[in-house]
Amino acid sequence: MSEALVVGRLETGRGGFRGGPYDLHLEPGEASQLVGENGCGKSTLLETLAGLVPAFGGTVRLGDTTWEGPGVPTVAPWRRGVGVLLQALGLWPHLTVRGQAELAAPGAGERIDDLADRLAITALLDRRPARLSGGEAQRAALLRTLAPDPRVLLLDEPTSAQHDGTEALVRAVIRGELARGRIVVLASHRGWPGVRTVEMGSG
Amino acid sequence: MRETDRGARLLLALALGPFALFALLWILHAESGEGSGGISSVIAVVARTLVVAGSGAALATVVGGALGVLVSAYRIPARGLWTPLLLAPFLLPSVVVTTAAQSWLAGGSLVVLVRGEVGAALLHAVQLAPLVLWGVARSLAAVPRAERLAMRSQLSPGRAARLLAARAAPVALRLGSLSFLLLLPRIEIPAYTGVETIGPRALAAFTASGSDLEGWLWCTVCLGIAAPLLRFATATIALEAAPASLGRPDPLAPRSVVATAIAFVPALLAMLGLGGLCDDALEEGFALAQSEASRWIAALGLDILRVVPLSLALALVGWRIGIGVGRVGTALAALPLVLPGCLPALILLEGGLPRLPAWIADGTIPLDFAQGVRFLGVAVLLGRIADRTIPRAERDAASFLSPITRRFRVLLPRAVGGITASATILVVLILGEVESASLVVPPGRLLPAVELHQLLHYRYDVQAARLSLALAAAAGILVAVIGRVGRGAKGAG
Repeated sequence: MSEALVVGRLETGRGGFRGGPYDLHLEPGEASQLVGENGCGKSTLLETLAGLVPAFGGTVRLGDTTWEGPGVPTVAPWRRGVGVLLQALGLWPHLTVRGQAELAAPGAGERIDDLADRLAITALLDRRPARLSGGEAQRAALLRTLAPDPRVLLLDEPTSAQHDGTEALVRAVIRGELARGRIVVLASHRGWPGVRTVEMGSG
Repeated sequence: MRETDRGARLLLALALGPFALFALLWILHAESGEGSGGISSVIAVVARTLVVAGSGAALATVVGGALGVLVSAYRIPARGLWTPLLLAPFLLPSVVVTTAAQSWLAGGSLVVLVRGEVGAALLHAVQLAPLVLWGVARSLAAVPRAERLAMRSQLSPGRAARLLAARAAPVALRLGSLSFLLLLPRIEIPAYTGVETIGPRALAAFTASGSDLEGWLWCTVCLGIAAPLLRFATATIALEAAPASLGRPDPLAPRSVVATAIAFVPALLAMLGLGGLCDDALEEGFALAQSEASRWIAALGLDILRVVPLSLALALVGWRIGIGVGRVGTALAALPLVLPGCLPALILLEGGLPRLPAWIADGTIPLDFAQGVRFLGVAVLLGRIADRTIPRAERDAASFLSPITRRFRVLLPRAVGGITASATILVVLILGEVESASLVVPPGRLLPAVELHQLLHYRYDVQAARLSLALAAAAGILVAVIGRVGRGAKGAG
């Protein structure tokens, strides 16, 4: 069976907001970009796919594993094998950049060094989040997201804090993951040429 | 079924169940002819308890909340001294606060302020206002820096303070309801101020009059009154803390707890000095003090060796329960808080203690157990608050780690400050705990809190003053040490 990410009639919501139903079908190596106005539910959809926000209905499957669905126990976020970059980053202030990545991916030292090099944060590996700029913190969070080599990447505004030079680095790294057969769903206000766009309704 | 629905039904049962049980017990009680007084006496005691606990909690909420907003909103000179001084009454045992206040006002016309219902309510407020102050200041310290800067640049100081007060109101109200829960079954202050409330009546029923049925009747009344408030007190508090690097320093972080310890001894000295007790102690010379001192130091040392590990273990267990069981479990763990403090020890005495081997029954394990059960609710509530102060994004990011890694590598280190504060509060509460300690004190063991209670009861004020100072100094040093350890651990990574 194909390792596709299949989302069917998914309904989400948080607080007073309700969104959906959403449908998605992404084969390995494919990406989808969620676009829409502020408050239209892009982040909520990503967090629902990650298992952080409960779904009200519909199904989410990866290959033959059902993450969400009627009569099926919801799969916990840490069992889904997803990598999530949150808009608020959520870096843990008591750990260095390397410490965060190693905690997410024990024994992945070589991959961490390689990713850090590609994201231009090798010199920052021993720093704690308090000593990082906004753009550096975002790349450090991306490093932590990618370190465990997840099958699905859910990225919320992955380039929002980057200037032109570092944005190109981030885009190259994400495209590299796509080329390795990873599935990518991202929310962004900046265009990603060649990536399928999903237009979401207004908030 | 969603947790909220389950919680609502369970707490409704907890609220209504006790009243049904109360009616049943009352019928049995009336038929058996035990106890004293009719229904009018019961209603009078319940009404008095509600008035004393309610007005004490309301006053503590208003005063503590206002002071919390003031110390957070304005740049007050010598803030490092004032804040710990304001917190000090919470760190002192109830008997010390009461006796010091009564001694202070004994000769004046204001003595009415520390007698009767008014006195009980005022003394309750004095003791618990610092708890509200602590919570409010802690929640306001979590206001993101950007929001704070926006307030300063766009609003007048008065309007900014009003905005902060509105922001702190949910926390203050929840801590106010927690104060009410803590005050409901209190025994010491009502007994010292000569007010007959539920706590002293329950203790008398279980011990002096030997009517267990009447004692349980009073316990059901406490449960019935407290259950609806437990739901409110354990509701999620939205404390979205800013990252440590971006937020302003927390005025109640371990470093400030050390400052509290430093201010702790002078605060007690000031209170006792006003009562004239220190003068008496100095007049008597140091000869007697030396022999007493060696006895008390040994007793304190032994008790500290018991209390510190117990408090740390309780704080950790409370944190673990607080992050794992949700509101319903938190409410259940908090139940012993709303029952008379002597109850765990009494149950132990009536139940399993006589059947235990002598080496357990005569040791400190029963005492540890009774005090642990009594204060578990405090540990769970503080542990839950410590967890909720971790920003949501950090907790979400940790959701992708295995549960054990998440709990012990991310959530625990991030909650160390809160757990340290919880352990510190527990050290103070357990060191000053009398109600369980006087019932299950190990044979031949001198417990400073029980000794102090007896000295005050028999009016040995000079010795009581000395022991209070020794107890205060020991607690201050412990608070300082735990605060330093907590600060070191917080920075580790």
